[in-house]
Amino acid sequence: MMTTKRVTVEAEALSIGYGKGNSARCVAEGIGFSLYEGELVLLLGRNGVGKSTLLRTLSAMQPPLAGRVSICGRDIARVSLQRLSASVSVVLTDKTFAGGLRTDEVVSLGRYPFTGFMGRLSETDRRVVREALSAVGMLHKERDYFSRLSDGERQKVMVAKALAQESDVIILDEPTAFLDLPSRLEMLALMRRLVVERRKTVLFSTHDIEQSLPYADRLLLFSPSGLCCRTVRDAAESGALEAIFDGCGLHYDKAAMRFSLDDGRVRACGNGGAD
Amino acid sequence: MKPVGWLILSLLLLGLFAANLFWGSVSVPFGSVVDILSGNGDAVNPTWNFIVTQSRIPQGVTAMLAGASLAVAGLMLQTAFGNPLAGPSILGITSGASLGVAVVMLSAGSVIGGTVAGSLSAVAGAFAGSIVTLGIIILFSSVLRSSVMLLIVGIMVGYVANSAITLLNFFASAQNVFAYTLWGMGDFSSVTLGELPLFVSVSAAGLFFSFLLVKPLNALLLGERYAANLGVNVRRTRVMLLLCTGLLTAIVTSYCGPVSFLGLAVPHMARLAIGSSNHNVLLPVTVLMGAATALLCNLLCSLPWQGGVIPLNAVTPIFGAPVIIYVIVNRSKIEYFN
Amino acid sequence: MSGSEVFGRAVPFRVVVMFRFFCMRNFIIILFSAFLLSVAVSCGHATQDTVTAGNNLYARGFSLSDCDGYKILDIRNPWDTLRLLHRYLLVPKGAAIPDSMPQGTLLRTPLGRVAVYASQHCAVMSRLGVEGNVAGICDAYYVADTVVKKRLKQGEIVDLGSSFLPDMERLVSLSAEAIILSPYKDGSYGKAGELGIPLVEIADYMENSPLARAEWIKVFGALFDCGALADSAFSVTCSRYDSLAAMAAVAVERPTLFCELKTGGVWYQPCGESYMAALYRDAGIDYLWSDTPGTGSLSLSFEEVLSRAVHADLWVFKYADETRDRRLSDLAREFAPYSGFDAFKNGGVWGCNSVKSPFFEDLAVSPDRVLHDFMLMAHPELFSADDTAFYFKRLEK
Repeated sequence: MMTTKRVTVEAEALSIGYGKGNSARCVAEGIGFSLYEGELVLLLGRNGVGKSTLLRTLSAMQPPLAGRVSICGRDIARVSLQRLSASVSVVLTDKTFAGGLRTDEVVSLGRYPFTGFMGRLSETDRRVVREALSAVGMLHKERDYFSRLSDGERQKVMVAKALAQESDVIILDEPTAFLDLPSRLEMLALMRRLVVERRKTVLFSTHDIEQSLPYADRLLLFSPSGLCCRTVRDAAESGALEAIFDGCGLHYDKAAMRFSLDDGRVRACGNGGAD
Repeated sequence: MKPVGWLILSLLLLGLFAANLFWGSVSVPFGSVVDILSGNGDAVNPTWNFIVTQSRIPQGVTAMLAGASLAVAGLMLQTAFGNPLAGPSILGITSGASLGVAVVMLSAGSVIGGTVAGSLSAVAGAFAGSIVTLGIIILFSSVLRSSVMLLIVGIMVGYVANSAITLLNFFASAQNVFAYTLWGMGDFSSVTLGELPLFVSVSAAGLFFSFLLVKPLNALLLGERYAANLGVNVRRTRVMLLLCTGLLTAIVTSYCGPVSFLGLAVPHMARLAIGSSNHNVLLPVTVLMGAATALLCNLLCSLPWQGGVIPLNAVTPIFGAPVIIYVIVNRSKIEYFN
Repeated sequence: MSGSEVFGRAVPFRVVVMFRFFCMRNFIIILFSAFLLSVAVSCGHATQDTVTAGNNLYARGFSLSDCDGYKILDIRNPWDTLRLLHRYLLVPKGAAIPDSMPQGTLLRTPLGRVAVYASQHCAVMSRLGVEGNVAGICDAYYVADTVVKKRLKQGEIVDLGSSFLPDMERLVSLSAEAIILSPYKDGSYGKAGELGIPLVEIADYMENSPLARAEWIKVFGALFDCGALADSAFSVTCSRYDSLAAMAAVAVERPTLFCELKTGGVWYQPCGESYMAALYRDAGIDYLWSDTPGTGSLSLSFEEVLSRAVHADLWVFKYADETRDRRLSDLAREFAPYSGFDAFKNGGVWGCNSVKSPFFEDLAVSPDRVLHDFMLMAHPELFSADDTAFYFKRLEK
């Protein structure tokens, strides 16, 4: 069934890292996978393994050392910035300076690729912005200052901004970090809804593995030995999920859906158990 | 912003400009100024006519454009660097321009006892100085991704420029040092009617250019990575922003000296007044408020004080410093800081 | 030239530099310094002696008195004229030091090698023929005296650098018998004051009349044991000055005058009680700001100067240009509104290129020559047609 879906993100023989030529520092190589529309994919891996580098490479903020990334069938290295921004949107944990903007103004920035020279919004743009705000449940705060929102609300607004970009792919770098439990679960449910209702491809990295797993379709498992793509069930059964924490003595209990230490001492590992 | 806000701001600006024409260190009767402005200058005392047409009108126009230019330069730098305390002087652009002027004024030895500011060689010096500084900053901007690091490079470049200025000052003649010192105090009176077209066209071009950058400036509020994802060519935008601020700072600094605080404080005044950092509104309001503030400062300088005029840079901090202190103290309550 | 006349009197370079340091945009420093100054003023004044009555014709800043076997040279504090700034005891070399001398700095006369901070004082020494005693000089750039310039070039006179921050190592290596310098208010002399070399504080620039300042040549006469020469030089200066001034006094017309150029946003004019205002008055000139109080200078705006001086007959200014003399067209290019003055239109603008003429050096010692120049501008009918000015030139088109 999955093979009938449209491929949205495709990585082929991808090497990621920094620098150029001889001074280049390779973080990972030989990466290949495909993501499809209407699925929620979790990127898991230990700190420093290169998750953020991979996400930056997929969203064209950083060129690959080798290989190719295609979004909706187009090589991102050859696509104009404007077209790219309409096909892949990002939600980051970066500090912004947008506190002085109203919520709807922040979301309007998502219309950047579609507006004219001075950024004036058309009727369509306004409608898309309102829809995006209502999709994340933030319409009631559209005239509030961005700075007056809670961390969870800000993250939702940034998702609304990504929705306003009307891109097929949304990439989120640790969108649940810094959020309290209710906001975290709300965020996960929101992303699930986008996948189901709007057929988006949502890829996000997280350390909240146990909470996120029930919402995910597939996992991108990133370990120093390489990157592999599995369904959640497959990853749990084959031991691939434990493999990303190789050497930490972690065991994943499928039935309880929890990680635990091999010696039996149970650890609360809700927040990045191996850190 | 509501139309009434625009109306009030425009009327304020108009009123301050008029005040600059009617009010100065020499008292010219109200009716005479009206006569001069309405083209009946021949009937008026020729000295008054000369004062209004040759001195007050160019000075008012200069103040207006210089204030607007510096304020816009400050605003663009604050957004580009994501730092509310950025300004033309912080980035070393003013220092670079000053160094250019210092080279002309202090080493050439060809200074007429008094006026140096506004001489074409000083303008060229300021231009060269700020463009070289900008070149260095742009060069580093391709190496350094972080704006904060770039800001620090700017500060360091400023220090190097100042050390060269100190050295030039030390070996220069007392008269040249004195002329340079007075230039450093800033004034709006050095642009003559004949030089006004050049000053107006360059600063107006810079201001026009800045309006074209409104859209990427708004995107940059989300940070460089978000902006890049929205389709902004961040590097090219940064170069254009620096060129634009460099142009505006150079033209003002060369004619008016390193005017302090306008670039830093006016964008904050504008943000506080309209309660938004949306550049669609913020930029025009900054232009108007920068012009109005400069006119007010100029008015205060040329009020008939005991013993004549006072320097511009003695007045601008009176407006600028409290604004900055207010903003810093209340930063947790001010939206655009969070 | 070793000073700038923007303060209404020729101020030593050091003071100008001090001024520059004070004008740096940092207001906190200015306020703080002002506070410190006020504290210093209120609790200073270590010297309590009253000033001895002098027998000078004009000068109020010093007095010389003969005692048994020595002379007393008192320098009055120019900023608090009831106080002494410094008392010197001059004892001839080779003579025994008298037992009962008052407190004071001992100087053995005639002084030998000396370090001189200001080129004006160098000019006074040249007038007395003792310029050979100059071993080192500050601000060598401003020296206009050709003999001193030549000796500087040959290395016979050491360039001590800026008078604000003299090169201490060179100063020490001179083994000078005294350092001759200009005092400034509440100033200290840094390390120079701790070398054990007597500091001779010549406050001539604080005098408010030209002849009073010229009278300070007597101090140099006493220091270098050529008092008679100094007296005669001064009386020659006086008689020349007085006879010129007498001619001017009976002139029917008193042309009006304003001076200097706009600097930045400010146009300085000397105050009515200043040294320069006195020169203008004595030259039979109606100086347009002669009614203002004070000895310093007024900082005026362009429009204030224009409104008072638009019809003035004469406009004089000093400038420094090593390459060429200024023309009217240069002025108009510099600041077009300059051309609005009648003096500009009628050829009444006179400039002094201070790099090419020893105006600032001569101002101290030969005010009669400067007076001559001003009278030549104001009352050309009193002079023969081939008489030319020493320092000023009428600006050409």
